[in-house]
Parts: sequence; structure tokens; C-alpha cells
Amino acid sequence: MNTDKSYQQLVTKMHEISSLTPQTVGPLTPLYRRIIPYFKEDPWLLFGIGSVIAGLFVYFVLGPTIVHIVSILQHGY
Amino acid sequence: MQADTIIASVLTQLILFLKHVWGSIHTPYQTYRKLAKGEHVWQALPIGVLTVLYFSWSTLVHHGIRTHPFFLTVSFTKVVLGSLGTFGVVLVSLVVVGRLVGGGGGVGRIFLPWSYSLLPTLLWFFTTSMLTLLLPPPRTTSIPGQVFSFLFVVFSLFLFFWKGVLYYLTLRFGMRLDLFRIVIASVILFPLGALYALIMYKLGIFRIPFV
Repeated sequence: MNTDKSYQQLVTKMHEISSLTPQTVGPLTPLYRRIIPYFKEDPWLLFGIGSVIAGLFVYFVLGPTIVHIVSILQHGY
Repeated sequence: MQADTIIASVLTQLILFLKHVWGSIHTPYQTYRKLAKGEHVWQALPIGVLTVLYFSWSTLVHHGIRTHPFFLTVSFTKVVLGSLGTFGVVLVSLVVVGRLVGGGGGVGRIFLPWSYSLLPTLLWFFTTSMLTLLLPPPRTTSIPGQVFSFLFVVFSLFLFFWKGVLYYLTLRFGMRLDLFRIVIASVILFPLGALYALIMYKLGIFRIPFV
């Protein structure tokens, strides 16, 4: 069984995963473990939703001033 | 025979590059775990080429195509050297501060992860330069002006969040740090980064640092 290719790949994968100790954040660990899968696969969904919400927040805080800030940013390249 | 080996090697690196670009946005954890092994470092070459191409483009957009070639060359060389220097400074800072807070990685482990984290940076800088050319600022506070500004902020935030995750994963897998130590490292690194950005600005190399 030890010479089986799939078995060797599985062992390598297990070594790879266990090379780092799992992340814990004290009492917030269960919450952390519920949130983190959204970052592991297709996080762009979360980035998309988060950036629209944050963008709306920025717009409501700054109002039309956002136009001036973007003009400055556009000169930043 | 040797030409075949070279072609096969170039193709391998190119395929790995495309695979990891795709992985950086779809499965960043899995991809960065692999990148932190530090294998096949030449796959980062296309990122370097894209960066040089971007700076060629931005130099032309900044100064105009009719500017004297000598002046364009000086300006191009300045930003390319500035970005290379910045890349090196960031790599060394991540390793030094990472080790200071108890990390166990080195430059070899964070080189590829940090190189791939330049993808959102490149995308932001390139899109911004394109938009400046197509819709040059300043604009008014009219409805179209505000809608454009809102969309630009949303786009920038999207890339900022992506960059943030890639930064976290560089330290997590490259320097083998946990969240708490990454926060401490960031408290040290960010003010240093702000100071570095100010120096780059004063030297007239970058208005926004290319990190």
C-alpha cells in the first residue's frame, strides 16, 4: 500500500496541511472557523460584496467630495 | 535536444504562472501554500515583464509620446529602479520583521507569494492609467462624475481587499506566522511603509508606492 501513488500523494498533502498549526483566536475561534472558508474558495465574491458596502459607506461619509479624492487618486499611477 | 529542454522549461513556468494567477483569486490559500515552497522561481518572470511593460506604458502616458526620448528613458529607468528597490526593501522588511515576531521563513519562501501579490497592484496601476487617458481628471460633482468616482472607489477597494488577503497569506505561509503575530508585524511594518512612501514621494519616484 505504501508504494501506491495516490497514498503517497495523500501523505504529502497531509504533511503540507499539518506543517502549520491551525489558527486559533481565543473565544472567537468558532466564529473564525465559520468565516474563513469564504476566504479559502472564491473570495472575490466576498471582496465584491465588501467593496460595494465599503464604497457606499465612503460615499455616504464623503458625499460629492469623493469626486475630488478620486481625481487625486487618478494622478497616483 | 537542448532547445527542446529550454522550450519545455519555459512552457512549464508559463503554465505554472497562469495556474497560480488563476489560483490567487479563486483558491488563494491552496495556491499560496504551494507558492511558499519556493519551487520554480522563474514562474515569477512574467510578473517582472508585465511590470516593466506597465512602466513603459505609464512613462508614455505621463509625459506624452512627443517627449524627448532621453527624458523618457531617464523617467522610465527611475521608476523601474524604484520599483525593483521597493520590491527588495519590502521582501527584506517582511523577513526581518517576521523573524522579529517569531516567524520561521526566509526570502526564498516569501519571494513567490509576494511576487504574486503584485497582481492586484499591477491591475490597479494599469487600469488607473488607462482611465486617466480615457476619462482624464478632474471631473465635476455632476451625477456621472459621482457615479464614476463611486465605481472607481469600489474597484480600488476590491483590489485592496485582494491585496490584503495575499499580504496575510505571504506572512502566514511564507513566514509561518499566526494571525496575532501578523497583526503585530503589521503594526511595525505599516508605519515604516508610510515613511518609505513619503520618501519615494519626496524623491519624485512614486506618488503612490508600487507595492
